[in-house]
Amino acid sequence: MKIDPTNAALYTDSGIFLKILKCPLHKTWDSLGITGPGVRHCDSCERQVHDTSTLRDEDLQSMIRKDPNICLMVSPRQSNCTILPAAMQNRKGSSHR
Amino acid sequence: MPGKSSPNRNHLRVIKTARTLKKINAAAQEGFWPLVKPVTPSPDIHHMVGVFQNTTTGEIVLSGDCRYPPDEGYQCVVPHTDYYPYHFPQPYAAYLIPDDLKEGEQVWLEDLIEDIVAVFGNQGYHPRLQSCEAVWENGDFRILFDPDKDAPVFIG
Repeated sequence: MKIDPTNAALYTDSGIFLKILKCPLHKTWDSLGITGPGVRHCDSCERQVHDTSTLRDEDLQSMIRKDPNICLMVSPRQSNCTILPAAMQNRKGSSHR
Repeated sequence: MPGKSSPNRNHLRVIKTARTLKKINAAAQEGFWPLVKPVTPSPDIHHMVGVFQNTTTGEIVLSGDCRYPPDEGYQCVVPHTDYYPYHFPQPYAAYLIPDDLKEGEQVWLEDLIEDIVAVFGNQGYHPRLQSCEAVWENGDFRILFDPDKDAPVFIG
């Protein structure tokens, strides 16, 4: 997966848009209750938040298809996610891989 | 952005930053004390990009992911390289200190002057911290940011 830190837009490695990760409540991972491996619970929205560090692009696509409003957490540190560098961000018509 | 700024969660007093001579002097005339500091890029802060060019059309694509070789028909013209992605108008800036700021007061630095790594991400992604909490001590701010604990993540 890839993420554009300027707008928190999440993509697959092949560039397919998945979703925007913008919690309106500015929740932090530590503020969420642990409910299981890689899953935490948001008391405000009564929803699960999923750690994506062990997920493949296909897993994410499937989860988002099932629930387009699913909540995800992506850390810039996780090895399965690339951050789009500033040179590639928000440039209309620009290409990236 | 993670990696960029977090909201002022504790609703602390906001300390503004001025980054030009005109704005610094205007603030001084309004009663603020400009705490002037150098703007020094840190070698620890960088992003990464590679440039690939279509050998037929000449068009280029950018890559922030060095796991993959170039697509067929493309050649690497700029290998993946780290670079400093920020630009500032002047090599100095100033925190604008209100005259009633108390010793030990915790504040929110809205536009950090110091170059501090917000998160040590993978593939060369080491952005600078944009905002953070700090304490006013002995005429300067002590930054309250622990990259191990406070590094931002994307949630939503």
